[in-house]
Amino acid sequence: MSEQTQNTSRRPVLKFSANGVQNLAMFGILVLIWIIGSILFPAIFNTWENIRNILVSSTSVIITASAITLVLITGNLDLSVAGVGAMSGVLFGLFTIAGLPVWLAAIAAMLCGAVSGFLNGFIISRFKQPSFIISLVFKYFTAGIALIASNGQSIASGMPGNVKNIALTISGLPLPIVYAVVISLIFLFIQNNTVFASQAYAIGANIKTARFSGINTVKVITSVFTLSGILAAFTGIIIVSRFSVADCSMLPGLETDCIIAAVLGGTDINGGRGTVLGMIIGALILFTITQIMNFLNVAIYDQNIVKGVVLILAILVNDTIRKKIKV
Amino acid sequence: MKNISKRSLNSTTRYNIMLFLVLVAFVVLFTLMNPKFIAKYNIFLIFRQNLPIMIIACALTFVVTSGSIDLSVGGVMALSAITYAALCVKGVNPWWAIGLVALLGVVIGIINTILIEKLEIPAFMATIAGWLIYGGLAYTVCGGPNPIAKPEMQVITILDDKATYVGPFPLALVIVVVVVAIFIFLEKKTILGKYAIAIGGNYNAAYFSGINVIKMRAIFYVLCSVMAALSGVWQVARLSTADPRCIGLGAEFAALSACIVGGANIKGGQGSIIGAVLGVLLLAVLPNGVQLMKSALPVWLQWLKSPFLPQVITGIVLLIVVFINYIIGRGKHYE
Repeated sequence: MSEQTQNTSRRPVLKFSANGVQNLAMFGILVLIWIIGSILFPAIFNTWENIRNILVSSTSVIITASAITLVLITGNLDLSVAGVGAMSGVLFGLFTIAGLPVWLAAIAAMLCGAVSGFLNGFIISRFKQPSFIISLVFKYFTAGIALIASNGQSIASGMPGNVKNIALTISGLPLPIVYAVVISLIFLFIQNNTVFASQAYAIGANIKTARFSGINTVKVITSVFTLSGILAAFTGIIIVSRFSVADCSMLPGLETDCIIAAVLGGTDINGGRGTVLGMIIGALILFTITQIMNFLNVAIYDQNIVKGVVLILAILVNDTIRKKIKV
Repeated sequence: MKNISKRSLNSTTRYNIMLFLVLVAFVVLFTLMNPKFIAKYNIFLIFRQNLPIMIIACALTFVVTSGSIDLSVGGVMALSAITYAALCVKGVNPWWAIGLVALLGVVIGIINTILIEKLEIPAFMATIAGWLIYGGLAYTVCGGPNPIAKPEMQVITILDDKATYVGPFPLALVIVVVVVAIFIFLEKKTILGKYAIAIGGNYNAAYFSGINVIKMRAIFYVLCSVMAALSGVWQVARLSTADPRCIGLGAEFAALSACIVGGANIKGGQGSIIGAVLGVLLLAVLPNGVQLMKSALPVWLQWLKSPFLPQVITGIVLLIVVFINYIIGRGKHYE
């Protein structure tokens, strides 16, 4: 008690949680990378066009990883998002060709994603199976459905022109950015202000204690996976709308990109820790580096090497921050 | 006492027998549907196509049983295939090139050990990063996305020439049998198998009972990477091109699925080489047999003939296996 009074009598100091320190450090790294980019390419790097490109290319990861962060917080993995995205994109293309109005086709495709996510989460939580295996099963299912439905080819012709409406650029602001901002704000709210998110953290920290303290683990994990399925499907639809092509192999490596973004933002792969804000910063770091490499004419496959190294460094930096800085 | 004598076979053996019976049942079914299925050509084809997954799955079983995971095998396969081709084009003797590629596998295995055991990065993340890095390096060595298809590297293609027979058996079958025999020897007759199960069952208990955990895990990672590297060479021999875009694509998940179907527990502590081999065979026989059923399929099952079915079949088999394990209570210490 006396300590508390002492504290209050002192000059109020800005205090950070561990997550705050983490996010601040990552934000510092983002700024650093941004400064490096500006020095290397002073003419083009700080233009609105460049910033818009970085933002647009990061939307698919930010949208999907908003839910993936929650999945990781509950201590599970979702390897199926790339498959779900491809499946929903292909189905969306086929639905519009079949004559459904675009909004209905989008909703139907997202429902397919939701069903996949729901089954995924339900099997994992109800039958207590490792998420790695079950989401791998659904990766196979959804990628297989995408391949069989599109017959292994990309669907480019036959889609009505108003498919593009979903990802229009309205007065210089592409709609995907708007979606990403809205969705990440929703998930920031969910993560910070709802009981649901606290239950997710509790499950990730220790699923047994969570269950014994009366948390409905099946409900929480299933909802988290359903959200991830819906958002992965939405990402697929946005990609189809942006390029007017539905391809069974679009969104390659989305699951790894999402995990890298989340881990860069301080999410623990074993669960119980992580923030949506950190994930957004992580995704921006990832895509700023990618953009700089694009300007430097680094080939796309060499970028994978850099991604791998960044992933390892991110984990090491996170560990160091958590170990050295006690907050 | 009665109970014990009744359950004289342990759960792994019983599981393997069950898996074997399922495999035999499918082989009989497919043969009845289309006698061509059992033809020599088809059987040898299955072995030639699945040799890489089979030898990787053998080594991966050790890794998974010891409670770790290695997802970098696909990248290692691509990198080693390209390195092998590049060395051959440079004029290195193909057999020396194979040795150097195996050495590359050893180095990668040691890197994995350092990342996972010394720096304590979760195995999943470390090997995903490795997969990205080695897969990217494959393109870099190749100098772009265009495959290397020079006549110099085809010296070794004799390995997979359809005419290359050892006695009455094709080389692929011989290689598979020898590698599997070696791994079963390592599992049953050396400490590796028991230590893998001990480490995977309870890491701390294994550590405190004096097992050099890091050394054992290092052996498993190195075995896994070496097998992946050698199967890269096999793919070059079989396809006679070294294509960074398709060699090793999805190999990590294919091998892992086979291990799981073969009764390995992803959390460690359970798993057997024989099971993994049976798993690979099951996952290989099913798509092949369904493709050959052709006319026997009713109209509403015609979509089964899609060439993209293997993925879905792998998913279905995995799901069934997971549920069977749940029902018979194997792997109860999940969670």
